[in-house]
Amino acid sequence: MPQNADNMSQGSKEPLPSTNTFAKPASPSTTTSPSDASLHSSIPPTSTDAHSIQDRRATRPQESSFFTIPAPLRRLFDRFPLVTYPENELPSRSPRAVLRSRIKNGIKGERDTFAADGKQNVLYVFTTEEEARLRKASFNPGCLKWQAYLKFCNVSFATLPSSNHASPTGVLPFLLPSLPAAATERESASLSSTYTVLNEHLPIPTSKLQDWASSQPGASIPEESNNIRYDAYMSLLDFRIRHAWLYNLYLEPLNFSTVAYPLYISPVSSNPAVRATVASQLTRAAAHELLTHQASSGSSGCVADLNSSSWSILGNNSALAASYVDVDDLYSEAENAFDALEKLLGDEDEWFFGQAQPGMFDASVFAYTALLLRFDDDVGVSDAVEHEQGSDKVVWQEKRLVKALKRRRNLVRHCRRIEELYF
Amino acid sequence: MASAIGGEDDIFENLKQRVDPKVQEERDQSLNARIQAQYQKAQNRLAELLDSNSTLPVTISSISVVNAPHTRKSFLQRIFNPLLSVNRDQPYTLSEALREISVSADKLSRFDIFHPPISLYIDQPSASDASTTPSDIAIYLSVREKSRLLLKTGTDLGNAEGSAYGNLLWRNIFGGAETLNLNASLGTRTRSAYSASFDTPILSNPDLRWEIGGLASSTHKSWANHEEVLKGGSTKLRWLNSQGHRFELGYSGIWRQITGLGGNASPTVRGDAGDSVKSSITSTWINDRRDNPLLPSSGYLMKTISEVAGYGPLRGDVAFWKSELETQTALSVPVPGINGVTFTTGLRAGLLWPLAFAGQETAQPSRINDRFQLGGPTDVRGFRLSGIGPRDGSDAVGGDVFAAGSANLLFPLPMVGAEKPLRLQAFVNGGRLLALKDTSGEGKMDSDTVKNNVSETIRELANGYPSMAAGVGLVYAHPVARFELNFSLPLVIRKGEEGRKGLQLGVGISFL
Repeated sequence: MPQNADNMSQGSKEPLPSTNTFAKPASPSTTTSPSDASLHSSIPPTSTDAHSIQDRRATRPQESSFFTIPAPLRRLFDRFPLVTYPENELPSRSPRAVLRSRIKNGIKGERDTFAADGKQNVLYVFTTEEEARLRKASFNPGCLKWQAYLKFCNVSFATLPSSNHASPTGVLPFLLPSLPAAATERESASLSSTYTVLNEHLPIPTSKLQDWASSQPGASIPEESNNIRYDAYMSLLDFRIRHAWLYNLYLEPLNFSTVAYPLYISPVSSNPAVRATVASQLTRAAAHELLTHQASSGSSGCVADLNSSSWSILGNNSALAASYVDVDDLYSEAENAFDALEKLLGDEDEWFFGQAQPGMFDASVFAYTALLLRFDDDVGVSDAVEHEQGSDKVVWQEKRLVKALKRRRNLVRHCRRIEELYF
Repeated sequence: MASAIGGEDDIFENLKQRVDPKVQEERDQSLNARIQAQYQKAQNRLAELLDSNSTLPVTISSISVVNAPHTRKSFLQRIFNPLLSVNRDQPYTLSEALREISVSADKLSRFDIFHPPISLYIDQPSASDASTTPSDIAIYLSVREKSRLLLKTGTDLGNAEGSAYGNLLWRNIFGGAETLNLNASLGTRTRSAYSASFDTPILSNPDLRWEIGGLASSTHKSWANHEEVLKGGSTKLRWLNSQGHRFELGYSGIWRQITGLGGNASPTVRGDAGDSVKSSITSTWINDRRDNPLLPSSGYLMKTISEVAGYGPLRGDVAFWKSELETQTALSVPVPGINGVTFTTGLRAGLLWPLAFAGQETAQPSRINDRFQLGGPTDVRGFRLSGIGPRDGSDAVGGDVFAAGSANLLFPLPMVGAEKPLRLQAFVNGGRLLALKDTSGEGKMDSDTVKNNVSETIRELANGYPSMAAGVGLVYAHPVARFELNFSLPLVIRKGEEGRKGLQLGVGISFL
């Protein structure tokens, strides 16, 4: 089963009203890179399912009118149950119970305050329990992008650690909105109205998060630039930087063991066999995505120089896929992309495209820059995440990508500013 | 018996006439009776013969199992060697010898590799053989081996589930009653299940068996909007003691995934989604003294299952101790005029006690796939499947402590009688399923808190009436499964619990 592997699809899940003029050939209308479908094969999106359930639930109250129960029987049925007690308590692992205990212990966000028990929005992301409690940034770019964006929007939410299995689309993040205030008083609600409440209480996948945020009272939605090059720059992030990130994290063996392993694999299970399975699924999915992209874009001719150390041989039976990842090409494209972004931001601007408030594009850039810098031991050692076992730090061993980033002063400055203001 | 013969000419007429079927039947009957009588006589004669010779000293010089080409000699030797007189200090009397032999023959039949019956022949070795003594007898057991490969495919329908399955049974693989069982099924609730298990008797003892197997399955759990995918292996030792108690001790390691969540899965289920490994030791004890497991009229059943997961060297991702108790008793109620009225009661209870991993102070609360579920047509009737217990939205999220009981009164149907496996029943049943209380208010608990939490939760069981339902119904005990069609109404219910008013169909082999 691919699991954390699915976190790789974040970059290209763009809900922006993009025209896709610069999107790669295989992706246009879906805005999903070709490999995503296969990455998710085992966790089918259940949105259609959701609808059928929803429909069924919705029609339930009417069902009784189809099968009319004779009046005397009806009267008999109405008399039962004779006694109704209040509902049973939920198990303590239940998020409602977890949030309740968090409130009890007075752990709060700096700016947000909890509305009430179980009555707040919850963003499910890749994170640890500890960091979720301290409201720290997620360690997954796809999740961090949305976490940052929602913060820019001034929407209050809590985060909970989760896995792709929990998501309705098979990919994190997703958001479970708070219950409408009136409906939370379930004591007074009848069974049928409980169903309607539950129908409204559906998780919000990434693709609908932006719409959801704009519908929230008190949210200040940052204006998106209508710069003609916006999509072109976005595709730099979604493809060049994202691919370099994937390679840097999953396919550099040193980084994989010091960063990806403790973040994505250790939390899955303590069992070595399960970890090994998940690790190999993850690297295979990453390699597959890079290779299919390389093949479909045709950017790198497959002129294999087997002796060159920069060619990793990655066996793949897909006819579509190339056989090698051209690492030098990957990194130099990422450097070009950083350069372009550095120039776009310029020395003066606070935010991209000269906006007054950070927006989706800033969040997307921040998602990569913050994480690259976070696991770098030269800058802000205190930021480095504690390994779950304690002592050894999660830091990049192969620093080609992070060094490339650190040479771009403006991007680093941009990242630090967001951290200061919002995290 | 034939009609009187009127004249010679009539003979042919008479022969041409078709025999009256009634007459034919009478003839057959008398023939059968005669054969029966002869057989009876032969039996009696044999019995007399054996009886008069029962104290005759004999020695068993050889035992041969005939027609068992695929069965290992060493396997059979372990069963029959102790019977040979060479290996015994004292001579047998004939009746002793026969008793011992039949015990061993019975053992042989319990391996399930031979077609019943196993026939027994006794012969005296030829006197010309110099190595024999006059008291020697030779035993011949004639068997017929069952086919070694059995392939079965079919479809099943039951308890709101439909499935198609394929099953391959390979008997007597190495000639020692080893079996390999391969199973594959696809269905609506159990989406897919594949299992393979290898089972062998130990020391040629049919009552002591060792099994090792693996499984991969995917089950749709509609009551909690998710799918559980399992992959794992297990090994267990099973034995039956002389009093008829069955024991099982096993280890299993399973990788579980909660995935494929429904659109309106609750936060609790979303929180538990993902992977976990359960590494556990399970022990089971069953003492079944019922006269019929599907429709008992007397006797009792006691069953306990205990499981320890994650404790000490077991590791894995979940740590708990889980115990379940199940009892059932059946009594015949003497009612003048009506035969076959029975009263059965059932009681089930369970407890999940969170444990700490080796080297850790605090225990983790349980996950949805470890917690108990309660309610449904085969346990607490009158409730939907998993209709009792804590609920988050539309999901039955399960509980850590449960107790359930039932009382059923069964009457034979008028006109049908007590011999037919058909009964009318009236029942009252109820139960409670509770999540472990969190007295500390934190997710993590040290051992004292756990103790406190458990006792608080058990106390809560007695708070108010249990969730209850009562009803009447029809019971049919088919040899394979028991069918119940009940009309029931919930009496006591907790908010959120799903009682069922009206008809409910239950199909299963184990009912409360």
